[in-house]
Amino acid sequence: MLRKHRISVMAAGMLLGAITLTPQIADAARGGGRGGGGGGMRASAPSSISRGAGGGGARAGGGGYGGGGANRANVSGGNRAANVSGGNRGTNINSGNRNNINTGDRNINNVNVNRNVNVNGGGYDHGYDWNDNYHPVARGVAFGAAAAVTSAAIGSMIYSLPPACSPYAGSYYYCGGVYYAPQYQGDKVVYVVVNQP
Amino acid sequence: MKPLHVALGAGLALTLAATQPLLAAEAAKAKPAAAAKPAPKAAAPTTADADDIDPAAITALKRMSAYLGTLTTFSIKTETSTQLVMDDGQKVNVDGRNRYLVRRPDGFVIDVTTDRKARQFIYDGKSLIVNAPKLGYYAKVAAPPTIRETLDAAYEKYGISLPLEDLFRWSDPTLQRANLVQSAMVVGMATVDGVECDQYAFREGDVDWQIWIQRGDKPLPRKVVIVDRLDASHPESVAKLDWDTSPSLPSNAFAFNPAADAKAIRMASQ
Repeated sequence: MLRKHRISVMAAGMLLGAITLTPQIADAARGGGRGGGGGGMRASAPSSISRGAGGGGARAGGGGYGGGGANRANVSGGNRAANVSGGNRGTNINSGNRNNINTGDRNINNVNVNRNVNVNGGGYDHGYDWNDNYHPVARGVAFGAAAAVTSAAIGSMIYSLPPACSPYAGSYYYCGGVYYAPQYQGDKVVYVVVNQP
Repeated sequence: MKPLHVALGAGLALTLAATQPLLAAEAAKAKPAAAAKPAPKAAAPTTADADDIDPAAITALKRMSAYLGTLTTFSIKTETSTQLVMDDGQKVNVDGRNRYLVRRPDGFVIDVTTDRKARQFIYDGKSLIVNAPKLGYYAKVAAPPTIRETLDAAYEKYGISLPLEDLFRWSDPTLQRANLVQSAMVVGMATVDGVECDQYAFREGDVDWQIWIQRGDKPLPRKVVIVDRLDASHPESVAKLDWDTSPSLPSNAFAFNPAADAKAIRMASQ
């Protein structure tokens, strides 16, 4: 299965010429994965009835897999049942769009960070956490197949740090010329490229 | 109309309706609430036909909800299995074990531990902490004064939803969750981990769900299955619940003590 996905993701990457990091996160965030350099998981069963069907919010907000994604909450449950329980569809869509706009803007300026590392193997919560890292295959591709790059755009995000990073000034990390700040995006941990703290 | 409903539910519904005329009124109330909803877009059309609502199932749900509302403190250990859907429709299960320690209206610790992830959510009436113990990160944000408000804020502001949030919604009488279902049926007697239960099945929007409610004077949910009908592969999540309705709560039950090397990080808001 993994190989199959790897192949399909690689193919997508070749078509696009380069695989950017942020679309991978955006794909993960909406539980989608059809667009960009994503691949792998497209949905997840909701863990509560109240928060409804997975991916529902993303599709409502963005009109399908390729459209705008909602937020990470959709991975663990979209907003369909929130509507049912009296929630406001407009509110949900807006929140999804807001999130998408934020990450979308970062997409535009995103530059690939090529560490050329196979991170498919991984371990608990770092290398093989589908929730944190969306999909080990997609993540491996994001790191392994991207074009060579010398810098990363401020604001772009990745799910786990490249190797050989040093802690820097509290909770930051310095990795080969790039500074990262960990933060929660939903309950996922992502690393955001920042200016030197 | 579901054959299973006809086979298993109708007899019981008739019996109950005959002895408890109020149930018919409840079913009638339920109908317009369901019909007022916008029709599901992607799923097969469903109609809130009164025939689809077995009043016995609604009554059981309300009885459980009322009982949950009487619990001030409780703790639950759950065993979960959640299906992820790959792009080609293949499903993969990720299992987990969660733990809830709750004090209404303003405290909880919820440990969510799957084979892929560990998170801890702590709420003390003032702050919500999201802790990633294995990664060594935590974030602390201000929270509203009640659990319900906090869950809503976590979802709306931060995109965080917790497993089985329904536990806090069922028990809220103002939400009248039982009136939102489009169909309700009694499946029948069942056992969960040796405990006698009654099994019920509901349809609500794009979600089909089932619940196993303990028999007797403590009508607790012992098992919940939730199916996402929006995705063609219909992924489902399953949770079995092991209850303690009188847990001992130390005074510092909702205090968060980060590990010495844990780092405080920010929580992105939407």
